[in-house]
Amino acid sequence: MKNKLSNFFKVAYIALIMVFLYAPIVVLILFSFNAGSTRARFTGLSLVHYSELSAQTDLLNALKNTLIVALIASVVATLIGTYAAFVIARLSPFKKNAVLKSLNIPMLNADIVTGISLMLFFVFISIKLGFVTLLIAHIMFNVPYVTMSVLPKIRQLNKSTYEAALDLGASPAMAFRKVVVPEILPGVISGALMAFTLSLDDFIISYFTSGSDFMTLSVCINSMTKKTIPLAVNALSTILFVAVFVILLIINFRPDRKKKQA
Amino acid sequence: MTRATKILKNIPLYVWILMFTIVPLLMILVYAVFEFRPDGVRFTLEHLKNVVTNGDYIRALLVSLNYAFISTVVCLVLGFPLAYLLTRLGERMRSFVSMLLLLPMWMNFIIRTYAMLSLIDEQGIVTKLMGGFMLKGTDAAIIIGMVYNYLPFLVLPIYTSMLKIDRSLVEAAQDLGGNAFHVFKGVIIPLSLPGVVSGITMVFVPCVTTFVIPQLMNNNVWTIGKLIEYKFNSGASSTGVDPEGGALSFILMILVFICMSVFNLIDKDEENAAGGLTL
Repeated sequence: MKNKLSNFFKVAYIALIMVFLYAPIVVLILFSFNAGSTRARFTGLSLVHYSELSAQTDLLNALKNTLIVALIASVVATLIGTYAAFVIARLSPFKKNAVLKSLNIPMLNADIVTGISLMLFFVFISIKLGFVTLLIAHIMFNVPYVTMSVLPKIRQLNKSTYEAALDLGASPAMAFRKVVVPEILPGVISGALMAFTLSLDDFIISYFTSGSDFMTLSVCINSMTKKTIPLAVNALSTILFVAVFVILLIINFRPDRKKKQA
Repeated sequence: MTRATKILKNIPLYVWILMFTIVPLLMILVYAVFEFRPDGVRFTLEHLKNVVTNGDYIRALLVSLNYAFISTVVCLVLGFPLAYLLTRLGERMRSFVSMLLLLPMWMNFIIRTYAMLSLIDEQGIVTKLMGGFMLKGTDAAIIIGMVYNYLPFLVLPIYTSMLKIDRSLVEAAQDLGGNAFHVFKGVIIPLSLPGVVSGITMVFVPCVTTFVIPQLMNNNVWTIGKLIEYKFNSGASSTGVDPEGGALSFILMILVFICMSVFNLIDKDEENAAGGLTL
């Protein structure tokens, strides 16, 4: 009996927090199907705001920019971050500590400080704010997340497997490809996903480093909050939400997943 | 591999960190103490002095710290039990619920804040339910916005460090006659402390510095983040950087670094720095 009661409280508590986290999203999705044009009243189901989306060139353009930046930034950051992890793994403890601490600054620092520091840097060396500066900024704040996700995998590497491959006649490149890469790949992939997510999510750093001509989705929506936000934004958000939900489901419940971490 | 090639392999990393992390941060100091005018560069401590003696700015800073403190406490009170209860779920359910926690983080920060705002503004459902009482424009709205945005960032690191707790320690404590309270106080809380510390960092620093949440939720108050955003937005574009903006950013940077080193003293585990935010 006691067990049943505590079980009830457990589920009720978790459910309550989920309601808090999801109520805004559910309402946002609901109103994306509103036949009326405001959030004041729900006047009936309709897909009108979805068809309106095709006319919202600013929004669509910003979405395209966001995806392009997130994609390039996460790929480049994954390369740099993985390379950094290999370098750091071989350093002496003192150096390792110093390099990790400085590499991790953007991860722990406030976004507004990171954003402004990069903006001032670009202004100082007279690069015009735009696509390039935004991309550099995104790569910069993504790198430490990739490194932190690859580093534990490198630490777990068994040196003798690599040496065994060499003894059995594999070239260093082949031993690396056949032995090291499969071991660190999960860390690289989750680092890359993390980087992609952070790029999609970022507003503050993009706001300071993108200049006035190049807009990401968050910068674009933020500029709309000064006036009334059209429900087309709800429609676009709903599409994004569903896309993310499906991707996460696939990642979390993929059959070959050996170990669940978070 | 010779020593020379080893060093050569490391250099690009050092250059990268120097160029895109260290130098930009130094730029904040540069713009805080130098004035860049068409007729030349001038060194002055005037702006730094102005900023630390201006009552309005100090008030904005205190207001920000206050919001951040309250939000962090609320997150902790809500989030710590949640993290614990999550570890008590069955494995399938656990990974589903932790996915639900991650999911809002994958939506854009601005969209999330806008979604919460649209519940509590003039047309919001919560406003209607409360008989027209509008939360938007109150202090509570800012706290709600902060807790809503950052709660998952606090729960996940705590949850991760709780998952790592060896079940046999809990059983040992029970075998030795500890009741649920003893086990919680003697085993669960101390062993999840690294997660708690990194969770608090993940919430407190963004709450102090955010300008979006106060701007959207209650634009009547000035927070330090809003102040800096205003300084850069009003003067940065054409005439160069507002020197007071540089000085304010410098003060904020120092504050953030103090926070970071305090948390660093408590939490020595570098691996935890990502806050367990891996997939």
